[in-house]
Amino acid sequence: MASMISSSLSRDPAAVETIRSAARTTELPDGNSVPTLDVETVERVAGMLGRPAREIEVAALSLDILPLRYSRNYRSLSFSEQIRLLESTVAVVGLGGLGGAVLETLGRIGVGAMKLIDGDRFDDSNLNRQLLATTASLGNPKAGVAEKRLQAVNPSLQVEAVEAFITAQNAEALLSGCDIVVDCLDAIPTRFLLEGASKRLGIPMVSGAVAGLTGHVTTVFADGPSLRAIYGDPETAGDKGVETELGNLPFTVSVVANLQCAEVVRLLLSRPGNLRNALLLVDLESGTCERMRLG
Amino acid sequence: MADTVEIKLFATLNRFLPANPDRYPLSPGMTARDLIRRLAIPEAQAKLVFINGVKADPDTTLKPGQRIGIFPPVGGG
Repeated sequence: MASMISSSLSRDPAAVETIRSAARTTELPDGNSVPTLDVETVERVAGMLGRPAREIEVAALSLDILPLRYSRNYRSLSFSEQIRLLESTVAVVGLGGLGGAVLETLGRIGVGAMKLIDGDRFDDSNLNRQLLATTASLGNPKAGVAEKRLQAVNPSLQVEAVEAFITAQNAEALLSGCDIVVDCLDAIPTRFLLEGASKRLGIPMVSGAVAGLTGHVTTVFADGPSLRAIYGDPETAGDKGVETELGNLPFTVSVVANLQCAEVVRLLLSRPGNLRNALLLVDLESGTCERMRLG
Repeated sequence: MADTVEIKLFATLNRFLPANPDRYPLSPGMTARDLIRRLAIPEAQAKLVFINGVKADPDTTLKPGQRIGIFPPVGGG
């Protein structure tokens, strides 16, 4: 993972004492009682110790104290897995339908650092499916709106908003240091560009795409098959797929975005079953989801 | 009984679905590309062909009982 922020605070006896004494016992839905920190206490302790809230949460988890904002992740995620997510950095590239839903889910589950990249602004045609598109946000930069949303949902996160389109010139510099890249773009040539940069940096790229009632998710690894397995030769693949004819429906977008999130978490936690050399196809017309092998 | 395959066409290709997709008759030596042509699917739209859940070359010869999935390019975000 990109950083190991847990070490210093949990080895500082004064900080440990501050965090321990701030914890309160809470009964969880399974009947077990555990020491916890509520949102307000995390903020207060962060202020007292002069450290970012994310570090307080990591240190608390390493002391078996559960930040309440993550209490419903438990036990599907262990304390050490929650720490791992909090210490991870994920780039979300494209902040439209897929990207807006991806950052919401990753922010809530507690992926600690996110880089949000898009040079676009919201317009009327985004309103049917993009969570961050509201009548109030029309005309505003997607990156800035996304950053504000994450601050409202989970201010413990370290968020960097980049109001720029991904290009051959900026891609590697922007993605460097990230653990995972999430491809939420809407143009096939830009997806290939993002894949090239991710492969060169050795960062897995979780790619999602939608059209109408169908969509798919795959993960491209530096040493694995390329998006060529899906789109063919980039020279002849064209700019867009059949979404130009079918549009993009909101429930398809939400489903595919969250399949991407499940894959991001699976990869960050080194859990089995990732989408290497596989395409997860969702077809909401027939109500099916199938895992296909790409080779 | 004739040898058949099961056909599933995704997204925009669904309009080319034959009347008997679950038991579509195979002719001897028929490839996935032959099937695409017989169903009048524009070849550029038949971006991905899956046979029994594995990506296949369109020139693969089809066998009785196989499940054939054909998918157009999808790139929206």
